[in-house]
Amino acid sequence: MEMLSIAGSVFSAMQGMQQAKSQKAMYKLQALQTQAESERKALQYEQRANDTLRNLNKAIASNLSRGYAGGVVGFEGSTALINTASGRDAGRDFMFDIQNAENALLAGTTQAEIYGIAGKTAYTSGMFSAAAGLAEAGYKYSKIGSAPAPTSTTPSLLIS
Amino acid sequence: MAQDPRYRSRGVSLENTRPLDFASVRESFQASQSLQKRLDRVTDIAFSELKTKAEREGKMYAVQNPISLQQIQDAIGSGTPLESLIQDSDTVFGASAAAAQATLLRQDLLNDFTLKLQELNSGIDSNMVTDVDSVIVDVNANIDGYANVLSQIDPESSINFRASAATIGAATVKKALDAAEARNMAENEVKSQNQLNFFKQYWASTLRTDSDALSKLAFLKEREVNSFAVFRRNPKTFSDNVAKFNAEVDSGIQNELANHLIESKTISKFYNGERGEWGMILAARGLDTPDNIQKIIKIATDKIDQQGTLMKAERDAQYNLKQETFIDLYDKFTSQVYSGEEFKNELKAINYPLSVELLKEINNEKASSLIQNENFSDLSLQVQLGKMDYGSIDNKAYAGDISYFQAADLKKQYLQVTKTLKAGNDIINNRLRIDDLTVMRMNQDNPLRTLIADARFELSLAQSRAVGNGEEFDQRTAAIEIAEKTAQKYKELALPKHISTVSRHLKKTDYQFTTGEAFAELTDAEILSLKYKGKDLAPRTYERLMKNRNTLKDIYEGQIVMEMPNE
Repeated sequence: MEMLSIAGSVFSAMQGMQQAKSQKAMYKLQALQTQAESERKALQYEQRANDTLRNLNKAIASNLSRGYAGGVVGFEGSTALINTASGRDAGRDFMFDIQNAENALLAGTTQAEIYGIAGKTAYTSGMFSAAAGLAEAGYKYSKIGSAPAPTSTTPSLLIS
Repeated sequence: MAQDPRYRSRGVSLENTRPLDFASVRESFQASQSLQKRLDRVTDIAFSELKTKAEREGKMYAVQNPISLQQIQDAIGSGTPLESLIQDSDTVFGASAAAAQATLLRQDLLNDFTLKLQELNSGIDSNMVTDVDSVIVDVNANIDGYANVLSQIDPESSINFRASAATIGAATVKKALDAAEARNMAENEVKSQNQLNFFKQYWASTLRTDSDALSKLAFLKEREVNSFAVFRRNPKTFSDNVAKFNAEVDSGIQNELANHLIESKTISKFYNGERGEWGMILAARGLDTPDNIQKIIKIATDKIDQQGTLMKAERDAQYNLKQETFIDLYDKFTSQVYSGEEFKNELKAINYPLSVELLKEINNEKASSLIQNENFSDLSLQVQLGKMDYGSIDNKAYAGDISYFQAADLKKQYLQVTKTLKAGNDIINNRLRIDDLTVMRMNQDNPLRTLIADARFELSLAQSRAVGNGEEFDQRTAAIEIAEKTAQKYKELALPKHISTVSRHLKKTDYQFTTGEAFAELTDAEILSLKYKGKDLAPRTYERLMKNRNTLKDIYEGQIVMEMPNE
């Protein structure tokens, strides 16, 4: 019975420590996942920003072609006005996407750092809890007590 | 399809980023909570330890500082609040000490209460305490008093005390009630018995008066009403006492009527139906049935017989006394204390019949004949065996079979056998394992009969010798010696006869007879294995041999065997 209670307490502490380690690993993994996710998101924003630029070029080219075809100098008159408008719109879209990408990266990094801190906290707390549990078990065990060891009644031989 | 010359905005705007999951805060919070719980537990354990320690110390304090009954009395006397005697209950130590002190005090009070109850119980047992009400008041007052004291110290202990005290107090109250009921019942029963005895006397005397039947029946009715009222006080014995009363009424009537019939010599008239005043009484009690009439007549006739028996017993006693006086006088005459004349005068004084033959013997004018002497010896044996008494001895003298002096000697022997030597004769009987009846039934020729008579006669002689020599006679010691001698004589007499019979029976077997002892030691199986010329014996022969073996064994062991084989 005595051995069982000691083994139970030790095993419980080991479990607590293992749990703390697992928790830390889980948070680390979650941080990596978050980081990857934010980078993917940022990449998506960049791709869309690139698409914006491509579409702007296409629109300008088309506008110029049509102007020249109508006898209008491409960089004057309405053609130029349209191109200016297109550039303004596309520029807004592009800048937003670039900002979005930056935001995504910043958010991911921040979240990953949070998970890192959480992992450390969980690990420290788990370890402390396991150690405290072990100490508590030791204290309780010391309080159980038992019959004192019998004292020898055999007279000792005195060698003079 | 024509290309749109203008770039159309796709409405891109700043998108919201996913809300941050503040896992670190959550973890910190959880860690903080976990730590708090852990610290709480540590605190609890520490407090629990301290609490346990404080409780233990509190109990120890209570044991070392119990509240004594004297302290209670002093506190009550000085008007000090009782709660000041116990520890402050606001602390763990104080609460534990107070609870333990209250428990100890409750036990002390309960012990004190029990001692008081024991005193009450002793008083109830010894009838010193007979008032049940005072017992109830006493018990309740004690319970209330103790409980009130306790309630000022610990209400819970007070409640517990009440419960325990009520249980043991109730037993004492019940004891007092039972004792009172038993006393009451006993008193009522005594009254009932007195009533019955009183009635019995007065009913008999009433029946004997000359008053008429109606008056007697009226008296009976009045007694019945009074007596039944007394009987009713004890319901347990009521029906028994009523039955006894009725039995007394009827037996009184039967007895007094029987006495009346004897005194008035009217049994036959009564039998023939002439019942006079008694007829009404009998009819009133339902006693006029043929069976009952027969019963009354039987009572009357039995009374007459009883009177006759009593008179005969009185006559016999007087007769025996006269004979014993005669023996005493005869003794004095033969030992020459009295002269012939004095002896005659003494006999006349007691009205002893003085026949001519007796006077001749006293005057020394006549001696006994040879035939009378022979008869005397035979009759002496019969006296020793208890077959004769004073009357039959006298008859032998009247018939001339023995002289009057011989008759006197026989009477003396008879007196010794029946009275003075009874203890000794009983010892002889026991040693020989025989009784008087068996001796009387014995054949005249049975030598055992003579042996026993001789033993008794020897005891009688030993007594006469001792008295003659002025010595004290110890009949028991003498009887034991005589009985042993007689048993030995019997053995010497009986053994050869039995051995002779046994050896004769064994001749028709293959058994080689050596000694009686050897044969007596044979077992049943050994006897049953005996053969004659290699063949089994008849069943009756086996039975006879076993009987012979048993008889021999008994004789060797010193027992008397009734049957003596013929020569």
